[in-house]
Amino acid sequence: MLSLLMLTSNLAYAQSNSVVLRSRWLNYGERDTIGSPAVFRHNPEPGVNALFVFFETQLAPESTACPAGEWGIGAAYTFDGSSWTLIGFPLISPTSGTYYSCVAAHPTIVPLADGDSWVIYFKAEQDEGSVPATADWGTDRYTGLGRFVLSYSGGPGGGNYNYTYTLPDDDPVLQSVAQDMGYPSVVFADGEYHMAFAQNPDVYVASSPFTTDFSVPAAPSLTANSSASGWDRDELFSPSLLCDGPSSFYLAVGGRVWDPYPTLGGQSVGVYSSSDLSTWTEEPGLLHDLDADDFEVKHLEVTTAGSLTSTGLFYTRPNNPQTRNDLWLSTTAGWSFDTVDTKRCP
Amino acid sequence: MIPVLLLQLLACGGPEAPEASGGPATEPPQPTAPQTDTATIPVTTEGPAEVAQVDAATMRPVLTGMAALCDRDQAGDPAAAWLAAEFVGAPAALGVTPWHGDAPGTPVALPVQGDGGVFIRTEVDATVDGCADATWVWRIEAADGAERCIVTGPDAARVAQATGCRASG
Repeated sequence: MLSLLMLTSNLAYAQSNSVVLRSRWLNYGERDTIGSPAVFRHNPEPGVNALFVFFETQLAPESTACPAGEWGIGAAYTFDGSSWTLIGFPLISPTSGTYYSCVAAHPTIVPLADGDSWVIYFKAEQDEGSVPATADWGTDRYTGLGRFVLSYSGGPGGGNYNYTYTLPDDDPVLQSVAQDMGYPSVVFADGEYHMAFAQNPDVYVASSPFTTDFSVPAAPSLTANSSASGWDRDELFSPSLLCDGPSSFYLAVGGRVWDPYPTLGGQSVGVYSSSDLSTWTEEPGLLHDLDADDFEVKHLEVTTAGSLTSTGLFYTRPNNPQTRNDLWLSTTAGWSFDTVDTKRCP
Repeated sequence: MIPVLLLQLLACGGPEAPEASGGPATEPPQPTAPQTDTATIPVTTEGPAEVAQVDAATMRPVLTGMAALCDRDQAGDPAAAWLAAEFVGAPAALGVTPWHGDAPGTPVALPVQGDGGVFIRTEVDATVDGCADATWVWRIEAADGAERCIVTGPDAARVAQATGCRASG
């Protein structure tokens, strides 16, 4: 725990805090918001590392059919840690007749055992007024999580690398907890996928050996307003699950205090540790605090590079009034894009 | 001072709703982003990685989940093994071999017929002596004969080293 204590100084994050992608830099969609970063590193050949970030973005404005607008999943990558290349189209877009006819958002990525493939989950939302008669995912607006696979398919040489991905599966998963649910975050450890997700105002951790059929505990894994310092008084959101060796897990999670809703009185990111993904202990201090850092973290993905003292926090940050949200990265000393740890745990 | 932000929040987990107004009073220096001139946007869409959508059946077969349960029905037969796998792609073959120590047991084949979905689940019941102590080597073979293998179970790291397969984690 000593290493984590070193993380808890807000000053640590001041070492580097930079914009990754601004929504205005997108060449598609509304170009007004980027959110919910999900990150993985790939090593396509010796000495070459790529860091990919997937994100949500709004593709079409609000409408009667889709009151929150239409949202999809985009991606970008870097091979040098500083210059980012945008994949110039949304990988997943809302599609009529599917369970994500309005929204594909909140991506999370977990590597497969082959080291060259990844499962991407996303939160789905549909137009309740145009659900196909044959649909077996129900008529609720929130339909659960979609999932698809990205795979490295080799390189033609010359430092170029090809990746392919599938459409989402025909059916969503975790339909039973879809309402008020979001921000999934997945690691693979001890033969199972472990998914943390928020279900307002708490956080659950569900597990399964497969990409579906998650066992969801009856009680939350983390309950809002359980910290003595009160940073999580009204809501926990955007959990980010990490592993630090066998049976050693960390969960970074956002907390909000409303003063009252919708006025934000406080916003922080705390960290919990666990050996069994069931019982969690709060670590001292905070990774982020609105009061001290003077900016808000709206979604987050914590990455580590070798240890929990070398941490990269990807986060969604408001950029009023120009655009709603951009994607930022705060790092501690020792974090490097080319040593980011896998979420397939040792 | 705590900056007060006016937020319009969707039900937890929804995409961000438009914000009414306000924002942090101060922000650290940041790159200047052109707001409308796409010609000067400091990111490119041309880079070393190409990403393309394909039909799942054309993807290189990959295992996405594996499970081996012994005496699943609690009928008192310790050799009764329930073996299940989840995969993506259209493999030519899928099988699992129990290992005890340095000795591989009899391979068990699993059906590979898909149901049209991206993720395909398959399972089989088999008799495996020493089921509870077995380490499992899962092999998935593509139509071109290329094979990948993953090891699960209590001795996964060592068997992975012996077989050249990857331990699942």
